[in-house]
Amino acid sequence: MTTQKVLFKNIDTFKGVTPCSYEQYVKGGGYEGAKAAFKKTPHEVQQVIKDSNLRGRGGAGFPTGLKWSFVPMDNFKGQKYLICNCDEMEPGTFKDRALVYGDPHQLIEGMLIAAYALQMTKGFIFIRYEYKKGARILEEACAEAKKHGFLGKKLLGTDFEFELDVHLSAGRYICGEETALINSLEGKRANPRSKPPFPQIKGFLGQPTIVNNVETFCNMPHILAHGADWFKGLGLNGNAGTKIMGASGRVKNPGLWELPLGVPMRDILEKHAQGPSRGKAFKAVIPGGLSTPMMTPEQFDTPMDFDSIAKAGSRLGTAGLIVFDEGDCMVDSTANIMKFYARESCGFCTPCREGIPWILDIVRAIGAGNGEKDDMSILDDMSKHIMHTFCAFAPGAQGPFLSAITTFRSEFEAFIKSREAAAAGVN
Amino acid sequence: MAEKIKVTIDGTEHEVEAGENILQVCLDKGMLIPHFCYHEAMGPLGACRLCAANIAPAADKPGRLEMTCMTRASAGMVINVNDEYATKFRKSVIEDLMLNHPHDCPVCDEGGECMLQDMTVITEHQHRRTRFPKRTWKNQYLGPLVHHEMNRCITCYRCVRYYGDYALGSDLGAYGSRNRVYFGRLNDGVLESEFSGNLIDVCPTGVFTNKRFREVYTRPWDLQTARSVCVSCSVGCNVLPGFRHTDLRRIKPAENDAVNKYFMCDRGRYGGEFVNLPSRLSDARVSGTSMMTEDGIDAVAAQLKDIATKHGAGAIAGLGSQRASLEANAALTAVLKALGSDRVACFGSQADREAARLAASITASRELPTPSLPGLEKADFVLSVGGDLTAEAPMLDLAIRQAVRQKAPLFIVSPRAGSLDKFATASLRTAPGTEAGIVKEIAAGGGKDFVAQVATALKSAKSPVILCSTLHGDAALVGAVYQLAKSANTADRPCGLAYYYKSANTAGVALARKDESPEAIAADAKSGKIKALVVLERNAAAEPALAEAIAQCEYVVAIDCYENATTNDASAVLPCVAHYQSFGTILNFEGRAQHFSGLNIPGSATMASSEVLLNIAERLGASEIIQGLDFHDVYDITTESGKAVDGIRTGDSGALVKSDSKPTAPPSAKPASTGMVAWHIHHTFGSEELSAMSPPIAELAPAAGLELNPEDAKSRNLSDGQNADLTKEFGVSGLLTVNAGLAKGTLGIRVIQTAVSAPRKEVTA
Amino acid sequence: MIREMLTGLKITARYMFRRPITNFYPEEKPMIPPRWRGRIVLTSDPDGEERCVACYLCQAVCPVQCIDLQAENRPDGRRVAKRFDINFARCIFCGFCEEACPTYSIQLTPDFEMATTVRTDLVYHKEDLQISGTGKHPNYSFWQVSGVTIKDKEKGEAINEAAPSNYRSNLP
Repeated sequence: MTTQKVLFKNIDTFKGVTPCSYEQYVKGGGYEGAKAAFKKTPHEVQQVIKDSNLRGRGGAGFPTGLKWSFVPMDNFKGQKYLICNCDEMEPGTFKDRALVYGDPHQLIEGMLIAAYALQMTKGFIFIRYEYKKGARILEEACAEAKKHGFLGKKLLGTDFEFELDVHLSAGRYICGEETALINSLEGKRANPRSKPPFPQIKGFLGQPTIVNNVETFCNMPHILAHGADWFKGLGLNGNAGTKIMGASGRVKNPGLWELPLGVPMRDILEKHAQGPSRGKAFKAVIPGGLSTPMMTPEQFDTPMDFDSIAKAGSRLGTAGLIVFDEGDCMVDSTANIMKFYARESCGFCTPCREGIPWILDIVRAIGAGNGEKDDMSILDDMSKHIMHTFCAFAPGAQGPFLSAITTFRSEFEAFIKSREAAAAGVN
Repeated sequence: MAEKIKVTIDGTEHEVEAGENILQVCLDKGMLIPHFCYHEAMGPLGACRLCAANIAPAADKPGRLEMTCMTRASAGMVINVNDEYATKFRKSVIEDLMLNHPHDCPVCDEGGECMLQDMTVITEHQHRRTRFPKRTWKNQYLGPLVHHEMNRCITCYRCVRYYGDYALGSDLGAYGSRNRVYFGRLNDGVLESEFSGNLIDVCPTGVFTNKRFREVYTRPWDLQTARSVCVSCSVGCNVLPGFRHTDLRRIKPAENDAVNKYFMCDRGRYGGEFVNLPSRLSDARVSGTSMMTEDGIDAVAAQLKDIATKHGAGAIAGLGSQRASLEANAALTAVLKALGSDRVACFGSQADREAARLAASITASRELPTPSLPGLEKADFVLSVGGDLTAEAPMLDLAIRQAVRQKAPLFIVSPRAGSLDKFATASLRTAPGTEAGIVKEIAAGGGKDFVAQVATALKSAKSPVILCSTLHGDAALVGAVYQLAKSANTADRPCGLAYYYKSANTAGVALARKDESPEAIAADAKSGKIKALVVLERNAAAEPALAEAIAQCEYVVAIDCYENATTNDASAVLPCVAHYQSFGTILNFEGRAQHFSGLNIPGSATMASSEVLLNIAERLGASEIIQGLDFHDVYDITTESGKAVDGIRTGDSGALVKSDSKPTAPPSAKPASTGMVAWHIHHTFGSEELSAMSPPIAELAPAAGLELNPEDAKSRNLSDGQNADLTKEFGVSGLLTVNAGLAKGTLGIRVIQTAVSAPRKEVTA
Repeated sequence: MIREMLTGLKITARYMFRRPITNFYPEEKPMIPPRWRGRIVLTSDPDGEERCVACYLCQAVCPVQCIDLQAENRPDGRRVAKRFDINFARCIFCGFCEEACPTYSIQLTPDFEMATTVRTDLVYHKEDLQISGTGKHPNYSFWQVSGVTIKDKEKGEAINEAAPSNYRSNLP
């Protein structure tokens, strides 16, 4: 199967990548999408995005066109804001880094198109602290784009203006949640806000705001340049577009590949990632960044698209596979996963703030051979109760956690039993 | 009025307003849904996840677990609080919160009124399943009022929402993230807000507790309490003073939706300890001999009668009190009437008297609406004139902060910047006496800069409010503000006008039928025309206008609850109980008549001042004058014999008094003086007579001294921190503070009552 | 009727000719079970400090209101009873106070010989109640499980406590 490179057109390989220069970008057809967009009315651009069936690439897969449709348009006089979410802290996910480090102009062009379509004159790129080199690359690219008339006032022969700022955040996983990101950008504690009101109506500084992922924006120049139908044709089984998929963990060749949506998971694991790294069979895969339930080898033929993965009981998320093999202890792995969530909770609501560290303590105790008989029932209770939190963070943590304690329950029980056996003097 | 809809809560149908908060609905209907982060004053947050219930949009739709505080009522909604899973979930939330909660209950000051205890019992969580080490924190020193014990925190965010979002304080915050969120200051230090004591009530556990109450701790269930009204300023917050054994242990705000709602200021909360002073009076003292109160009353009555027969009726005068009840002041008039005299002075100077009487008559005429505290919160334009609200009527300041939060423009015209100024849209510093002129300019329209800005904002406001201080004795300003409010007041756009006063019952005595200038009485006392003075609950010897009169008058009867300069000088001292043990009626700044009641506790006097005076009147044989008056309870102040003040109609406690008389014509503004004008600077802590005697308030009070604008200081070759001798110019000297927030041409004199700091001692009953 | 009377008389007759059972108290002390509810004492911690933290629970639970106390804070951080009075003239020895006590301080002992001719002597003060032993719970020390700081026990040093967290740090 030959895959058409769209987003990675200017990015040869992830390793040792140098940012694609403005000249190079334009030579490869860059800013053609923006030019095409500016020939249309904002409503028409919105319609193209809606027609393309582009779904948000940040993990939730919400249709971008639909998200945009809630923004007040014609009769709205106040300031509206466009924010790019580059707070990529999902473990196992590094696609945004490749896009920002490799082809910054693609993102800027995407944001310009979105800004024009939504008539937003102020934009921010919210980038995590660890990507500070990326922030510098983006700043340089912004300056260049400004020089060539793609940012600033009176853009492309219209009266439209667009200012774009890069905000290097202090970095916190929760800042990836759009309302927490907005709070953080306002200088407040990065706690999520209650919805409704949605950011599209009342977001940054109380004004209509759109927050989209880097990859979502990067798709826009190509959709505008080649049309919605071309974009729809890129995917398999009725899915629109390509997706940057990655694999990390126990695979021979971890990395990122731009693949059509709907490619079977086995293709990634065996063809691109070249199979298990240490000769042991695969045990489980977390398909889309950490916050998605685990999948077992029987499910490896599932096509990697939003709906098929959901049907298989998991979520596509960011499509960054985290791979475990038979040599991995699932109790330790779960402890490691929960450690991340316990650390990154914003501390706002109780089940997440107090519940996840408790889960972590219990899982660690089990792993250290100090498990107790009631521990599994506490874990079962907690796996249900952390679903009822303020934002989607703890339900995200519940994904891998619940699948681990159900699919690999025997491993947990064996640890607890061995302690009981030791206590009873039998080995 | 929102549309009425029907919702089903636990199988019973209830009629509620559409969009109402489900948790509030349930609490109002007496169903106790456990909750922590929700507070009626601050609204829902959704952080604690405790108020969960199974909620379905309609009877035939599946329900799911939702937080009741985050859900708004819609027609046909089915709410199942007792749903099995919801009950289990709530229990699990409490279990989560208890994971790190220390084993402190036996020594925790919140015990007995702890929300966490209550919620734990309600949810039936009994056994901690955790075996892991508990998280700990180091505490902070937060000043003399609030004790910090961070281990007990359950991270409900109420404290920062109250302190930061509601009271607009900036020095208490939430630090850290994950399960390590810390609520405190960046560094140890005294909390800056004048409303920090409310943290104690707002905190559902024992993180913030009352540092003073802690010193001689007792469980809340052992406190004896009678609902009273705060005596620390003219706002009249409702309070619950708690007594045990011989002492007042603490004061808590009592909920009153028409006045202070849930909160009160630190001056009121911590200022009540004057009740416990070792200098409190319990026995009468006549010519240096201590005796029973009854005997003292006999002696005083005999002596007064003697003077009246010897020197005629005009030889006796009374000094009424702005901090005593209407009943006590009426009883004073009754005593004087029995002696044939009608000379009473309730104020400290003629200027104060004129300003307060004019303001009170304007308020009582009800020509313009007087905003209550909840009304102030909803104002969309606030103009504060003449004083520092935070210092002179603190709770008005908190109400205005709510208006400011709703983006209401706030304008301040005063000689000195206060803590409210940082929220002001614009403020104007102007010398005392010139404020009236500025108010007139605003009323006239036009003008420029500040005046134009205020006038424009006033014009576009839908519910404007103007507040004016009467503490500085500027009757011309009171009149000018009245004219401005009247000109801005239209049928479809009422303009609220409120004056605030020096003491708790100044508004009440300002409406008194008989009251004359204190200077006149002082002159007659000095000339010997007045032979006897009856001083009611007032340290008249410390007042400049009356000090000499007290010293020179032949016979002075002092009725008070504690030893002061006047009781030291007096020929006879009759003890009365302190305000929080007393009963009566006082009028607050809006002319709201509020009854208060008290408790008899051992170790102090037994009679309220009104009882003492009525007993004297009885001994004088004035039975027809005091006929129908109840010695031991509040009167109906509308009856002829009990009439405390003239021409007032009122109903029960809490009603607004209304006078039939029209306000007297406001005096015309005096031409602004060109030289320096002296101005008394009031402070939240230390300027009010009674609260200043309370040790924690005395600790927070600034030092007495003088203040000058940098330019004025420079022209006089004075510098900051220097002992300035301005005796020639103003007859004062003291430590000088150079303050850029003081208007040019103003000499600020910090009014700090000499505090009597004595250790609190517990007397065994 | 007659039969019941005769049954009664029969028992009386049977005991009339037996040897009387008389305990020669006070020369002969009776055997009192250790859980007898007699004179109340305030016990001490294993480290010898007084156990009572003046929580007022015994006072609250006492059905005859014979306990009265006042708390005070000692400079070393402990809260103790400044005054602790039990009026044994009123006490009914129900043992509720012992049950309510969260620190095992208040305990009932097998002593009942408290008779006196002066009624006011039955009001026992703290110095009369305080004993130096630990009583029935030899190893329990409330201050070592509580989160409150006292002298020689900082935050994080109590049983099963983690070291104090640093609120200035946001690091994991």
